[in-house]
Amino acid sequence: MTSDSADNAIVERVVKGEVEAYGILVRKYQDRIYSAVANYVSNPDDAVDIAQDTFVKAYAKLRSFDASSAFYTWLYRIAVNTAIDFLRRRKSRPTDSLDDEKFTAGGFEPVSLDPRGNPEKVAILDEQRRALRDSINRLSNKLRTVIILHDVEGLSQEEVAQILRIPVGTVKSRVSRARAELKNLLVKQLGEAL
Amino acid sequence: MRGRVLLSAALLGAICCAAHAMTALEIVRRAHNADCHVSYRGTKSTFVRTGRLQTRAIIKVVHLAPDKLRKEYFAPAALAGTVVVQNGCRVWRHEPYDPTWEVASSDKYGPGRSANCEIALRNYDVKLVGSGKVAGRDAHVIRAVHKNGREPRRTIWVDKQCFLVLKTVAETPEGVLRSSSGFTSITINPSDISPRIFAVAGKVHGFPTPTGLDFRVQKPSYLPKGYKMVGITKETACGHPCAHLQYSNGVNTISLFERKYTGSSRAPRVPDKLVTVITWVKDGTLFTLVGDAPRSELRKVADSTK
Amino acid sequence: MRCNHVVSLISDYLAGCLDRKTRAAIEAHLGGCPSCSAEADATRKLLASLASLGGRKAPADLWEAVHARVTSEQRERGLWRRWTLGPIVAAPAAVVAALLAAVLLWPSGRSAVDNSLGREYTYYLNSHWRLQRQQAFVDPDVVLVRAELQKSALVRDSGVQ
Repeated sequence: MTSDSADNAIVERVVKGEVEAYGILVRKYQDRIYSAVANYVSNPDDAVDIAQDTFVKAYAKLRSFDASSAFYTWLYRIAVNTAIDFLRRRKSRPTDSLDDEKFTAGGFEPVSLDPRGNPEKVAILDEQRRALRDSINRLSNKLRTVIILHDVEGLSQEEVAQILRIPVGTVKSRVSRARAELKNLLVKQLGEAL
Repeated sequence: MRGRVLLSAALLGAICCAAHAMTALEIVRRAHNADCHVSYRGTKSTFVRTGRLQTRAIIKVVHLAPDKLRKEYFAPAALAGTVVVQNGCRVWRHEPYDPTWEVASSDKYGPGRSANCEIALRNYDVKLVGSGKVAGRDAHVIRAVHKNGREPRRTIWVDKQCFLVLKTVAETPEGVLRSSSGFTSITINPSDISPRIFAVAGKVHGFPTPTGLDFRVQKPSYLPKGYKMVGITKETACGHPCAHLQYSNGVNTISLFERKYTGSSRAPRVPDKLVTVITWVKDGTLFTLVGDAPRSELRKVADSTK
Repeated sequence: MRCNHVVSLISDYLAGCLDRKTRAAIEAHLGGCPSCSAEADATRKLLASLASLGGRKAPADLWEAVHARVTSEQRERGLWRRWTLGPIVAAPAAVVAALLAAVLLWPSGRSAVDNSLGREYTYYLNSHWRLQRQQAFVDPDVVLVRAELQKSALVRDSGVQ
């Protein structure tokens, strides 16, 4: 049984009332969904909220899932829309917590305990990663989404096209534009490319 | 004759040890309050290791006795640009790219600090182990080891002249370094500290005052050895009035937060790899227990809460 | 091969999507063109850095939280369905009003409170660490830096023992 048909079989069980079966799908895709949406926000609690919302929404819409696409591409689509909605809602209310987005940009990378390790190099890498996340956040939603799905999460152009319901050619050109823009933003932030 | 000489030597040794033990305690007591009398300006380097993560912070500090403090963080990247100002029991914190100051409260200079020192001295064996130098200044070196031998041991370097704590090191009982924090340069009682640097200007937003607790606060009947309650405060956590029950053994702390809760009867678990957190819901109250004590001990605290 | 053509193909080249002939032509060009070679190098580094941002792990109890919300919503929908789809029976107005009130006021598992519990736990941890800073033999800067370390580890939740 392929992964897609296995997913479809589970969806059928859930639609018939077997709520616990939904846990199989959640556990199977939770890391991928969480990792993808975590690139839209800096605060880990927000990423957890968005991931939860994604699975809850998907559960509510399961009857309308028609297996014309793979379950996971359908799930990714819900995740992307939920993340973007979250950001849109957040823009309209003030930040109410000291911990929002302030301390999760890095600075605490796992460090090798090798005494020959170079702390300066680690600090530079950490700075680059922070600048990269910052630059991704400055892209438009369209470009940010393709970069996250394709270059960060490793989905193919075809998969991204299915998720976003756009032609593969459009995915390719958005990826190209996003990479060019990221390079420019990074040069401005770091004074050099990575 | 020989026996008498040996006995005298032993007695003298015991008296010297007793004198040293008393001296160590006295040094620690004076060090605990030294910054009430001593102003300083300096740079600190703080190294912290937690699990497999570690980092080093660089902090510039200015302190005006008795109770004004300003710290500016230069490293690591996540803290760079953060400014903390303390004036008495009020603390303000300012982040880079955020034009507002966040206010909190602290008892650092309040009456509780001496109590914490006494609790710590009951739970720890404190010895003077020698002398050392920190940032060019001569210091007593004091080692504090928990009486149960299971908690990290602490070594502090106390300035011989003004009794300021110049450096603190924490190691596991096996000797693995957990943290090290000390001055790399320091000027004692400089004459040019302006009180204006402790003033906060601009927009300040703080925690709203809790209006009262509409639930019965429950207390644990079990506490790990050496811990006692050091306070209960009313706080507001994300809009919810809550009680914060505070327990300390003088060095480590346990916090029990309680608030009214109408959600699911299963409290969601919070990731607790690096600090132990236990949550549960009972009788319409959400309990959150946080502390550095072993999980089995916190579980006993939780189970005894009624 | 011209530089602008090579640059337009660099992404496909790095992804291994080109036929052997085109790949060889690009490699030959890169060997002799410092600026295209630098462009390829910059793109390679960018892609490696982007890939390193991925692969994060969700919290272990995500399903528990989702389960709590979906079962609670099911309960609410069940109540509403029984009322709206069941046989319509003439009932006293008071009974109708009482049932409506019960449905509307039923505590929802999918409350905003549950969604913000993550932020609440962050508040509790901060409050606890503020208390920790006041203890003896404790450097408050160590507590603050450790708190930031722990918070950022909660973000990544990977590679931590």
